[in-house]
Amino acid sequence: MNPETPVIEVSHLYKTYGTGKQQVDAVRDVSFRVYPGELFGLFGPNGAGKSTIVRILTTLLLPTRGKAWVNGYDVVQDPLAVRASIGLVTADERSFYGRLSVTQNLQFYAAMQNVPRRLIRERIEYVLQLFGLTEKANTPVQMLSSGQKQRLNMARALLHDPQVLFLDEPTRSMDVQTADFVRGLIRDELADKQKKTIVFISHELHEMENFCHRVTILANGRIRTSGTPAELAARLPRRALYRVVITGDIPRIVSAWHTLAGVESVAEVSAGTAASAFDIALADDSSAAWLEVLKVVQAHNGRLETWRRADDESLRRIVAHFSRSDVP
Amino acid sequence: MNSYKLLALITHNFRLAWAYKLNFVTRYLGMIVSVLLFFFLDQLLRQSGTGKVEGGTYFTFLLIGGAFSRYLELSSHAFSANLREEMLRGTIEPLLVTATPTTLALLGPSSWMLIEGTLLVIIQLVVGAVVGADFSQANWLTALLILGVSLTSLLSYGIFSAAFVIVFKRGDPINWFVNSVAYVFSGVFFPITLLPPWLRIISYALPFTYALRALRGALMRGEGVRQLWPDLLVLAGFTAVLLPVSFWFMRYAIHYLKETGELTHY
Repeated sequence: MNPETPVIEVSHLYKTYGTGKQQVDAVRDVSFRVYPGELFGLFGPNGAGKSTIVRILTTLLLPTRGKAWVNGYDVVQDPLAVRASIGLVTADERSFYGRLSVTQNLQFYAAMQNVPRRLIRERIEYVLQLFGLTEKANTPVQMLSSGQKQRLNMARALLHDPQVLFLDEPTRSMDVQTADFVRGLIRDELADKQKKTIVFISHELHEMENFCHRVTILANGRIRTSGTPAELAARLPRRALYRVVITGDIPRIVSAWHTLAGVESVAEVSAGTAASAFDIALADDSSAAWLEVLKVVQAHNGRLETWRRADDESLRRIVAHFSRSDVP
Repeated sequence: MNSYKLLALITHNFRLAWAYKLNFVTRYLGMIVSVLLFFFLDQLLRQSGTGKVEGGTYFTFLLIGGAFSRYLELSSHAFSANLREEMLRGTIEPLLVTATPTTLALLGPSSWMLIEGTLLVIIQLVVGAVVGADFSQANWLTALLILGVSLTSLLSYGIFSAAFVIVFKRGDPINWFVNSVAYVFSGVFFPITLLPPWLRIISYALPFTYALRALRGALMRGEGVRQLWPDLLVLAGFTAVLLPVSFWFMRYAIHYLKETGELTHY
């Protein structure tokens, strides 16, 4: 596929649930493209419309308006072709036949996904090995832990070797180590090595950080911003964050800081008997504003023990900024 | 490809049924117990001097009626029961996101229940024959043909029922209709000639009446297609109307499901 040809294209998508007073606009005029081999993050608070978009793209839901294509197939006109080329992982870990073994479950889904009979065994062995479940092959699913069921959920989505994966909070039930292992697998094996196109949904910021190639942030059914994490950070208003440790007449120093025009916020990090630590956010990155801060300390017989820049360009700040309703 | 999937669905649902072994065994035991019930009811009638119905014993009459009613219940109930189970278990969404046509994904999981239903009917008739039911004149080939035509007609009720479950989740009027109206008016346990003529109108409006009458004709009196063609024709007529309508209704239900996003609601 041409790298410039999007694998997923969403154009002016709308989804409205209910009618009259019960009407909820879950998705409003959403457009985006995802290119081959991209690890694309859809991020937003609960109710932002992320899962609705994925359900439309996986043909489980019809859009109210707009168009969407996956692998060149229209999700409304050609749902079977779309489904043949995608894998979906949801956070619902109970979506298995508990009394049947891991292998029996996978055999069934492999057949439903058009995996040729002669390849089923090979594919099952591969996905079980990939997710560290080989030893559980003959275990009834109901005997697996939540994390193992979630890994099985991912294994199921890969049975037919789909080109596109939709991962809707796939690490929700996993412990920290397993979640790290799975994220590593998604990025290194599936995205970088196998060049699969992956749409990753989460409302956990740390999942997206240093993980997705590109992130789209949604709020109230609309796209607020989109880009690589670095691009998003660059779009943040310039400000400087300092972490300082001071001694002296701390209450007076802090009140004086608050009166300075260039100080956006002052947050206490830790308070000791002799010294206290603060995060001071300055509205701009000029040295003049920082000098004013230092002058206040001196003026109140205080002393600056240590200081360092602690600029926050994390996704947490990016999302907090772009999710605000007053940000255009 | 769809036949490959159908086979996979049958195997899968057999495994699921077998995974609950006690339930599996009690279904077969229950069927044998019902044969004994019919046998002793027949004995009771014989003692009062009335044992013959429609050219055969009441036992044979009841046995066929009972076997058919099992078929009736299964075919009308199988789709909706399975669908609801899949919804509650959370397995419906992963199934609907596979490369399987939605209608097959929704109705296919019931395929084993229908095969098992046929198996239970055959076993019930065999056990009945061992206990003393009179099949000496039975025309088995015609009976099989009637079962096939009946099943096609009955399936439409099952599809209607499944569509209701998709839209309304509970309160399926089709099951109520089959389990109450059809039992009374189609002659499962007594000949419809016992009904007052004005009530018999309801019987004639039901496909089950024709299916059961033809089945008894083939099994009790050895009648063939030449004698039973009027009933078969009516059955085929019902099928020709009900089946497309039920599939249309199912398509509407699927559209509703995708429109409202109520897939995971129950």
